Amino acid sequence: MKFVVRVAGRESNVDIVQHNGLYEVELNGKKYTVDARNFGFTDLFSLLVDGHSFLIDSAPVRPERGEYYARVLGRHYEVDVLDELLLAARDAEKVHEHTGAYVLRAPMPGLVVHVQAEAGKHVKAGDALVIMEAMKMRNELLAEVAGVVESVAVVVGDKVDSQAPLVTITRE
Amino acid sequence: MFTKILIANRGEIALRIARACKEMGIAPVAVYSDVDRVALHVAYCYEAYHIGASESRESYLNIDRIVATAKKCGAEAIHPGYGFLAENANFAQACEDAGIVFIGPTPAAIRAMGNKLGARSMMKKAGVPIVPGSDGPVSDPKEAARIAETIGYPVLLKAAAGGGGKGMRVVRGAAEFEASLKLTMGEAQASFSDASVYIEKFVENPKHIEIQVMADTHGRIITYGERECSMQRRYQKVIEEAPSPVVSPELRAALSEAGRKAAAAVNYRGAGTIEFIMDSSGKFYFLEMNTRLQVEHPVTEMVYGVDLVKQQITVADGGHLDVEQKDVVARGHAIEMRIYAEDASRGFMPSIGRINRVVLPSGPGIRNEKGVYAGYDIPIYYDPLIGKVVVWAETRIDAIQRARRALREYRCEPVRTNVDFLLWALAEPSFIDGSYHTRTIDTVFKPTSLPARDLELDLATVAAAIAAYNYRSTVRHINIDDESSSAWRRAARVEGTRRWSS
Repeated sequence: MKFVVRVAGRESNVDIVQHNGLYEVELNGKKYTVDARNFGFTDLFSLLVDGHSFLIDSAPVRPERGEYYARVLGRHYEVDVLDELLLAARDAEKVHEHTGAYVLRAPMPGLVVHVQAEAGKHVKAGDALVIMEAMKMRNELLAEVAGVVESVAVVVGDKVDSQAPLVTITRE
Repeated sequence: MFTKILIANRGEIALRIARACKEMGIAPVAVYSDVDRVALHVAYCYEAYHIGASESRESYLNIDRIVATAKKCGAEAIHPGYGFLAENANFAQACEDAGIVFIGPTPAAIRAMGNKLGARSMMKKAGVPIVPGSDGPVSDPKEAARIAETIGYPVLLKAAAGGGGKGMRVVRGAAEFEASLKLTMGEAQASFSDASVYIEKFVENPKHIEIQVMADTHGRIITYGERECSMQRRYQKVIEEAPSPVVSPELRAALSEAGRKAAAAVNYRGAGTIEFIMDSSGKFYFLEMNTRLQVEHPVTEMVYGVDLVKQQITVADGGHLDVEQKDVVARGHAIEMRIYAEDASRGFMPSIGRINRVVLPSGPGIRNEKGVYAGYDIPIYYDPLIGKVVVWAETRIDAIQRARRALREYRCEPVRTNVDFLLWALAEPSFIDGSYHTRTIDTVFKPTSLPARDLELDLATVAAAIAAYNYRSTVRHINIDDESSSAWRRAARVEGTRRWSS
């Protein structure tokens, strides 16, 4: 299986086949034999690479979008593992991202405690749109693009789920 | 001794208290909100009672409900833990009125220390060093300038009616004093309709040092040395240690004496903490007294070999503190790391959701305080503290190495935790050399302080690719539109359809 893998701004080409219980992994043209075993859980791997031993958590998050995570040496990474199809879908999304409406979504479930965004008003990238409260902490959600606020989907006091649309901005 | 104690709290501290109860042969009673029916403390206690909706004010802050629950189940005492109602004098009073022992100080002591201004003058009278400043609000510019001159620059101007950092201004010299005062008073007038200000010495980049006290009701006050809690992010402690790397035995004696005086001034009983700020020359000033158990109490327990929760319960029951001050001797070094469900690389955004797996560090010198389990959904209603890792070792440098080792073992997947941030903090040079202060993290840490190493990225890439490979290998054969599916499988599907439609 061939993948394009993106993590922390770095992109690699990975070709992977399973062979006699081992994974033959080609990473950016370099070949490795990886002995990967599950350690009691399907998302906990013991990796042996050339005798070097690593215990790594990795699992699908939204696999239909190619989103995975990996936790390596105390660090948590979001990893995109994309085949040709997902790569094409991502590219299409990107084009859309730069032209279509921008939708601010709730990064976590929580309570809307303040709404600065007003329909019809112009905003700059970095302007605060909504303040959400979760776990006793307030988080200011900022506009990532400049434009005109098309609609505001929430009012103060609303409880929203993760990924709920909050504010839609028409890009300029 | 009590036979039953109600724990008016949740999370790791509720477990900590319940453990002490069990070891003392006392039945711990949990209370819980709607969402906490499946929280760990409910299953861990011998009894558990529902007290209201998930929002804290409907449950863990509901004084009437908690006291009524204690009455109903026959608990003789209530332990408030920390946070929630722990420093609420009305709650302590309500317990007392209902004939239930509040495991903590008297309502009067809580009130006395809760009033910051009153506490300041009381401490001054008791001989506890306080930050030099005006004794009350000042509105005359000439008098203000004279006070600033006496205190010595830099000084801090604070709106008398303000709070929470609002209406504050640092003045570094006499030349800028008049203009700054005018600005601060103008703002104070506009924001609070009161132009008067307080003036106090501005302690630059202070360290946070606190003294643990324990007092029984027979006049004995024991001090358990200091903790240093200067590793703070926006005034939130993240790493605490005991002893402080910069406190000499002489300084410790002076700090402890000040702590003892502070506790004595309010006829204190139970566990309390006197917080000081300290400048780089070792001058320290009273900040406030926390009239309760602290989050970071385990570091003291580890170096002094003491169980502060059991002592709290003993003295609340009227018992004697069975220890002499001369026998209170520290050994080794302890560090506590607070594990928060938050994402340091994204401005410490809280991370919530289901925990699939928890692996806690173990081995020599490690203590875990936890409030979560695998399969648990982190709720949005409460503090994001999901646990604490405390390490002990013979020396400070060994303790730091052990702390790093422990954090690398810590797993709470797949939610984001601050473990990467804590690893960064433990490697910060000023932490290692002990010169760190309360502003260190806020000035030094940047989201880019957590750079990814190539090896880590390679491993993340390979592991995720293998996870994707495995995922696809398992979903492939249930994909009914898969053209590669064999004829017999298609036939089986047809067979299945027919069976259901017949």
